[in-house]
Amino acid sequence: MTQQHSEDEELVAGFREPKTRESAFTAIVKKYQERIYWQIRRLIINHEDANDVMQNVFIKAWNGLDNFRAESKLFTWLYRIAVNESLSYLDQQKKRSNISIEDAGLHLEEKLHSEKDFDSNKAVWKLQLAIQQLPEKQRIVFNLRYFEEMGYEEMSQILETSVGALKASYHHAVKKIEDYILNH
Amino acid sequence: MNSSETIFSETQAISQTVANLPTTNPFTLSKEYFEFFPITLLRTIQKSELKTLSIPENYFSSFPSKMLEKIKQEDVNLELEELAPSLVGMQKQNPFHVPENYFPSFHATPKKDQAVIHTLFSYKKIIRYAAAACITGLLIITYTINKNNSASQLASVQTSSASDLSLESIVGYLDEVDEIKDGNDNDTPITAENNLLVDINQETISQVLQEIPENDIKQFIDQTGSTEYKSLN
Repeated sequence: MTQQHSEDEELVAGFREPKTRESAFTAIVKKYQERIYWQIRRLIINHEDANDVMQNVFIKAWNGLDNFRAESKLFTWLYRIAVNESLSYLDQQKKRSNISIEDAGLHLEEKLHSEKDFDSNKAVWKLQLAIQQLPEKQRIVFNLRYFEEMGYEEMSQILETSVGALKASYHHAVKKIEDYILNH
Repeated sequence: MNSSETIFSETQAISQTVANLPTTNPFTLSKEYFEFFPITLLRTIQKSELKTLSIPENYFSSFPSKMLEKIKQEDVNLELEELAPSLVGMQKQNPFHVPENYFPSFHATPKKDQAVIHTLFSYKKIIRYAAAACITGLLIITYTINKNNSASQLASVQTSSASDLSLESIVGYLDEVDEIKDGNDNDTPITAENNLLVDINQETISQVLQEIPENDIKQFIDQTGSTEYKSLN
């Protein structure tokens, strides 16, 4: 963990040097792109949309890295940007398509149906359908914990929420998913 | 600490069903995506940076005024070229020097000039005018009183004397006045004979002179220095 942290510090320092700016940034993107992408993709579902959000996230990182303070981990910082950008994107979509909060889950469900290998009988897709029924925050917490296997401490830094609240959110999310799986 | 086992056991404690669900990723993605993403991202960033090339602060707001200044300057130069071409090449440098930090430390503190108060009524003037008016008033009053007094006195004298005089005496007085008037009105010429109380003619004068002794006359002539001498005899 400490080794990774110092590696990130070196990359950030390299980014601040004009000569090594692009190479350092490429290294940062390569290091974290997959994890960031899947976090976004699970929230946004559609690849094109997820790709747009990915680009926005890293453009923001490019613009903000000069002012990045090593108080938090680089990964945590990038994750926070990714979560915020994803939620902003979903809000914009809702506004553009005139979707109410209640219908937001249905909209994401439709997106899942349009996925290439979608099969509602398969457990993996059923789980995805169940996740889309959750409120935004519980969905994020569940994804980070269940798929990313992220610790509550780190999660609390990203979402700026207490560990206790996150545990409660995860608990509620699991219960709701169970209920969905059992009833569908 | 946050290993798969820990999370699995945590999820299992909440829901056995969910814990047993597969954690595999159902979404598909091209294999090259992550390979090319950094390159495409850098291109996008470069494009966006080209779009947002930095420009000096207040560039657009100050642009029109700067352009106008330049146009005016060109007009001035053209005019100068026609009038005095030798002056065009000269540098427009200010030969005057200002003390260091004059402008930064310059504070335009307006003088607290006391406003000139123009009084509508000046007491000094009023006092002068009042004094003059009082003096004039006193003079007028004195004059009028004196005039009234003399007039009244004359009137009282006239009335008192008129009341005391009898009608006969008044008539007599008026007749006298008329007679004097009549006497004055005679236009008889005043001659020596009319005017002199003593009737002196040539013969009388000759007689008087003959009676004066010759020596007295000579003495008189010597005293007065008169050369003209005629013997009366």
